[in-house]
Amino acid sequence: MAEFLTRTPRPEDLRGRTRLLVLQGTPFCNIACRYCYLPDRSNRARMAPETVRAALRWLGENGLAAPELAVVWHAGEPLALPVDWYRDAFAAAAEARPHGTVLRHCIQTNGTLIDDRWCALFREHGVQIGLSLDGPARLHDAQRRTRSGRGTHDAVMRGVAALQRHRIPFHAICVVGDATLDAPEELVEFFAAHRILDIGFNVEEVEGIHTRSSLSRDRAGRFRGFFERAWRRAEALGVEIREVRTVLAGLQEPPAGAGPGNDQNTPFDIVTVTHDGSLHTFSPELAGLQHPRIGALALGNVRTTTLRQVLDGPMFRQAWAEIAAGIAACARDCAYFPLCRGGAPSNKLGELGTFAGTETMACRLGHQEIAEAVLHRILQGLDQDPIVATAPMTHQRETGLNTSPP
Amino acid sequence: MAHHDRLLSRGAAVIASLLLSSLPADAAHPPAGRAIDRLPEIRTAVAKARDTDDAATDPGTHRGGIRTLLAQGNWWNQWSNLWRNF
Repeated sequence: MAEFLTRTPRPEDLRGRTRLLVLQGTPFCNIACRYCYLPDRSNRARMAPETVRAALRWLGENGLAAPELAVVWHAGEPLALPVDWYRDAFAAAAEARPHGTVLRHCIQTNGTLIDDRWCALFREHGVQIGLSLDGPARLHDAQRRTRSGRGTHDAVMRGVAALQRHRIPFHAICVVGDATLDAPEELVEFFAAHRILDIGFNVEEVEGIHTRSSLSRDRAGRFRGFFERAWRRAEALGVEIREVRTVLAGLQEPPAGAGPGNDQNTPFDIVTVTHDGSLHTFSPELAGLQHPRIGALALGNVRTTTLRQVLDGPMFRQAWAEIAAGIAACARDCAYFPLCRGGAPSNKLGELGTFAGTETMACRLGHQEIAEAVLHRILQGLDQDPIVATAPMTHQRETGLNTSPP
Repeated sequence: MAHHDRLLSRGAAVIASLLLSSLPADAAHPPAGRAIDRLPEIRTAVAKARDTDDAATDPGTHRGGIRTLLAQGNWWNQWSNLWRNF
């Protein structure tokens, strides 16, 4: 670990690392959620097709792209752009696709604009969909509002109906704030009733321009109680929770070649390109941010900056020095490091003012409390499963955990 | 053991059994301390559970057990689902 964290990576260290490319088609968002972290969501600028091509070529020419590359359209409301804009953008991406790389397009959307035309595009291109939905109207509309202050729940549910009418699978991401903590059963029953059976809980984080979270005062274990009750209800109703899978996956060893950190704190595992071609790595939430101490966090531009120039530049060097110090501190001080591998730089910067810090509220609630809930269940389950208790270890297990699908 | 003693012993066992069966499952094995401190033991158990042939195909057989938990979703493939965190 020491060598990885104490030197600037070389381009050859990063070959094939990038598995997620976040493209900001537009910074504009048609709604104004109360907890939004985006700094520039009134800006109606659009990414040019040439910038889409430049982003893909940049990954290819620098040898960064993994064999499977997820392209996520995000960081603004992606569906605020016209349907045909995506036909051109997908064509541009395919044209500039790095040799030997398979692209998979994904869209994280607020769902308010989904209609039959969008569904036709999703089917045509096999686009994977993530929907932001905070549960029943009384919880959702308290936070997720139009620019004139009206709730968006009805519009999102029309989008849900369109997706289901076209048999397009999707998952939902639900932001959990203070009001949600008292309603775990109501929340899960809502999703189950609408046949939304794959959900993720995002803690209301302190990030970007959202500088205070309603969860910042949670000291009474309310979040843990919420999660355990929600999970119990979800199991009964056949709803899967992303966080459970994430903890279980963390009990495996990371894939071969992975460093000591996680996807958000390891250089170039994630690349984010904003509408104007500005280049970022680490947490996607850092894109477009102007920090009072650090300034603009852009590392360069895909049209003009080489990877070597990025790695030699002062912004990357300062950010990586701080982030690496933060990973090392987490590894030293936090019992949960084997599962979370150093936290999210965006949370550290937002809550602690530095990438070099350790524990954040997002860590405590979004990782530690959830890990405790899942690990306790495993410990309790051990007594109820005699086969596991007596199953002989295979040779593979004696030499290390399996990291490949069964 | 005298007949009287055997009766007492059997009675105590019955009472203990009744007490235990009246407790909710969680109370029978109350979580003690941080589970994260037992991570090596948990990793071993999860590895064993995954190696058991019917781990994902018959979760109902051991309802409430560790393999029921592990049967939830395509969790081993989370490394390729990175985008779903944003």
